[in-house]
Amino acid sequence: MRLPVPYDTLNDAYGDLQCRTLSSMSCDLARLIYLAALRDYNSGTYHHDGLATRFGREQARDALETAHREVFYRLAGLSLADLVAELKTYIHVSREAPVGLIHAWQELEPYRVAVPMEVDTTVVRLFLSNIRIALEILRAGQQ
Amino acid sequence: MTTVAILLVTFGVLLFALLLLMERRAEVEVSGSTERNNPAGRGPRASASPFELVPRIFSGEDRKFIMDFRSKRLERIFRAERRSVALHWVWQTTRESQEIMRVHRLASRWRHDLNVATEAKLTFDYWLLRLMCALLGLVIGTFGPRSLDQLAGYAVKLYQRIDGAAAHTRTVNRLPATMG
Repeated sequence: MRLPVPYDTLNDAYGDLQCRTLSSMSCDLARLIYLAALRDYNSGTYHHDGLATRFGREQARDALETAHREVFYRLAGLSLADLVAELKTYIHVSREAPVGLIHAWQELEPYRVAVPMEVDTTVVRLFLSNIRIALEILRAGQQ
Repeated sequence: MTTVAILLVTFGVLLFALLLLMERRAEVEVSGSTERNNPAGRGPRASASPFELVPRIFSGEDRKFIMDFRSKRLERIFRAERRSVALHWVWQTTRESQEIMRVHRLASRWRHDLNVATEAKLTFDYWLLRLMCALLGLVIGTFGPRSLDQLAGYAVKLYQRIDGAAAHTRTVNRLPATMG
């Protein structure tokens, strides 16, 4: 049985995650990809050794889950213009060739895996749809 | 004039019959799938749309941004994407309102102090929301979601009102949302 994590401890773990890790990233898309990468594909639970050592495994997991969901909702609420700007920043910091990254994202749709669990299905559709449109805009710009 | 009136009444009756039919079907579906929809044991509110994001689906700002590119291909992709998301939202709102009313009906059985006026208002709001969802679905499917932001906003308000009224009954009876 999963017991609720004490609010203060969860807050501390969340604050630590924000200050030490997430704030150093240049855009929300990078934060989303990073947080999704900390999730186990088979179990859906999050792992972060440093955070778990300081606050405990459950607190770390809940803080990561909360942060992931928050970043996701923030991105889903962006206007298309802002999302295109966000995607441009992400491409810039990834140091990949823009043409290659856009092509890979359009073909493989890796951003689908970055969606948190148990979020509203309409918001998921809106997010995925906006990413597809933003990629199309950037591709058209490249051409 | 008489012919128009007959046509309008016929259309109204057909629409109402269609809604009733959809309601019956959905009730069977929902009662059989409550567990699947709530794997974490949460009520319908756990999956309710974050309402502040609904205007984004119908946003004129995004459409204007796309129009500025003057690309037919981009416009076509944008229209198709937005239509798909908007239709999904209509479907989800319909389904969740059905679930709210199903739970409300169950909770109401245990109450002996039901207020007729409140129940009548709730039922009216529910059917108005269903009618609006049917209309929204029809218009979005035919023309796309542009210029429907006010109607969608009104549907959101109705949904919140129904959810609030039904939640009150659940709280009074201390019944879990997923009971049934």
